[in-house]
Amino acid sequence: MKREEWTDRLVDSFLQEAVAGERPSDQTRQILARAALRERHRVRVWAPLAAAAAVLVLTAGVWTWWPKKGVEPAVYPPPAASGAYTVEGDAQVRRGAVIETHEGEARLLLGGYARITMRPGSTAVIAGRENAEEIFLTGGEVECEVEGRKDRLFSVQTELGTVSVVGTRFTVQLTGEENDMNAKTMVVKVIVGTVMVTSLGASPSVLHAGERGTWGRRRPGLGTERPAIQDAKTPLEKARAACSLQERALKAQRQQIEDEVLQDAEVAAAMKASQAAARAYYTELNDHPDYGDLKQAREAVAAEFQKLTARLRRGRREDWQKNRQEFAKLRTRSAELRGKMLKLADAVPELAGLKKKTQDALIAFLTKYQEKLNANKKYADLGKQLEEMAGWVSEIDDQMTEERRTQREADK
Amino acid sequence: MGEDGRPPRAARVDHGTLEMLVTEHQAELYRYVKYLGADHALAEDLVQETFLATFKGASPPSLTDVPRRGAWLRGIARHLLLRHWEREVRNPVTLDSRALERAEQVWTDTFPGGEDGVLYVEALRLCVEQMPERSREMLDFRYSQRKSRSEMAAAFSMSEHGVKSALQRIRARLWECVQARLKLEGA
Repeated sequence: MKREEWTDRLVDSFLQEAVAGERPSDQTRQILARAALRERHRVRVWAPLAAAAAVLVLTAGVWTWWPKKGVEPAVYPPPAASGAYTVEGDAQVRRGAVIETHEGEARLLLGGYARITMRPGSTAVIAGRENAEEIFLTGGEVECEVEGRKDRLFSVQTELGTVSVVGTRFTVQLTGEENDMNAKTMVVKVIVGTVMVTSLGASPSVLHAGERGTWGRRRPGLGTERPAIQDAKTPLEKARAACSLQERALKAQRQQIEDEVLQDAEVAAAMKASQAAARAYYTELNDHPDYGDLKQAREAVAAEFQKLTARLRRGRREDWQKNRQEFAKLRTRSAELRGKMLKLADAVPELAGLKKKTQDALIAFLTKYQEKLNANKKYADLGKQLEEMAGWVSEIDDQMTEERRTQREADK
Repeated sequence: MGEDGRPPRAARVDHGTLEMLVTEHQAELYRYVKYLGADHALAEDLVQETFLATFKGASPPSLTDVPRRGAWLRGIARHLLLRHWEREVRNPVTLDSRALERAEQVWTDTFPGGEDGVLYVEALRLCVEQMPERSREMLDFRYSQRKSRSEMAAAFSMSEHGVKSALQRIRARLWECVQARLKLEGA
């Protein structure tokens, strides 16, 4: 086959996706499950032979202890990304890279344990270090799933605060005017587990599963969900509202246990230590002259951005199109400066030390807190009941959607 | 550099590395094997088999160099595809390893940075929207409705050969359009 024939074939295969929608599916779970199965099988097959070999090893003497050249340590996985995204600069997904999504979603995998789904229209900088992975979200929304392990931390930083976790699932959404910190709002929603939010000028807060907190223009607070049982008309709507009521009651009970655990002497001491470490770190960081310079430069970019926005607001729609590149440049510059601010914290030994202390104190607190919660039987029961309830709710929701669809078709 | 003058290879693929490789390269591999001629089901199978072949049994050339990592995985996928074709008794495919190397060259020229092709698909979608009505209709018959060449010939009052040539011309125009669009976006 000639080159032209291969280019024709390339377009042909891509058309199957672009026109017919035959797109690649996410097979991560299946592949990992099959890999795990293979490994188990391998162990089973080799087990009897290994037992026999053990005798040989004992007789072989100490030389078998000698370190072998061919045995290599496990490598810490570098950042990886998939889906619809672009990378500013040299297009390499690595620490310091600015990742942007436009119309589609992208997935990031950091350190092999933090899975981040970037929603369309989001921008994030990959920061952090081994076992303390971190992203800086400058706009948009991310959903994070973090595998729980004692010595690993994951954080999402925004201009309004930092969300840190040991193991959980949560979303962070940054809304409001681009590059205008005062007009921005950060919404954190916890799906599973516990997260800690540290923000400058406010004391650190803990959010639990099912809770939602807002930082920025509005004061931090939990989201409310009103089950309107009196407004329910159909039996399904009534069942849904009843479930919501029950869910709220269970969550209130769980909240009570969580509050009690937070009062526990050991947990309270760990939390206090974590808050003190975070305050010390942020104060030192803000007082550093280089950090101040970068902050100033970033504020200048923000001012430029606002000027451009104000000018364009008065202009025509076509002007927006023309200035798209200008906007993109400013956004990238802003993210780059933020990246430098993040790197600074790791480059200056005193700051890096304080940052590590903050992270360690946070891990100690969250681990202790989770341990105490796990030891509470009633808390575990409530979790199971809430899970069951969530299953019913989703079933009712499916039926309601189906009912509405049937109704729409009948109306047509 | 290693003792043999080559860049050092990474350690064997463990669970964490496997997940990183899957996340980063599964879409690219799926599109690649489909480009080589696999259908959707076979492409998904081959993607799985490629990653499983790397697990515990192979050392990637580098974990930080995305294009090299991609080329290594594509090599494994190509090998698996050739083996699959060799086993196919009913529909033997005549492509050999040399033809597949040429295919690889076109792929690396199109995606020099190790991209997974998603931006290409997006650009292609936009280019299709810009095509004349009749071309779009033909693309819809061929790709969405999966009509055969003879069915298309009847619908468009053309010969089968005419349909083949027309589709080739459309694809050539789309190729140029996508190249231009990606160049523009890159700038």
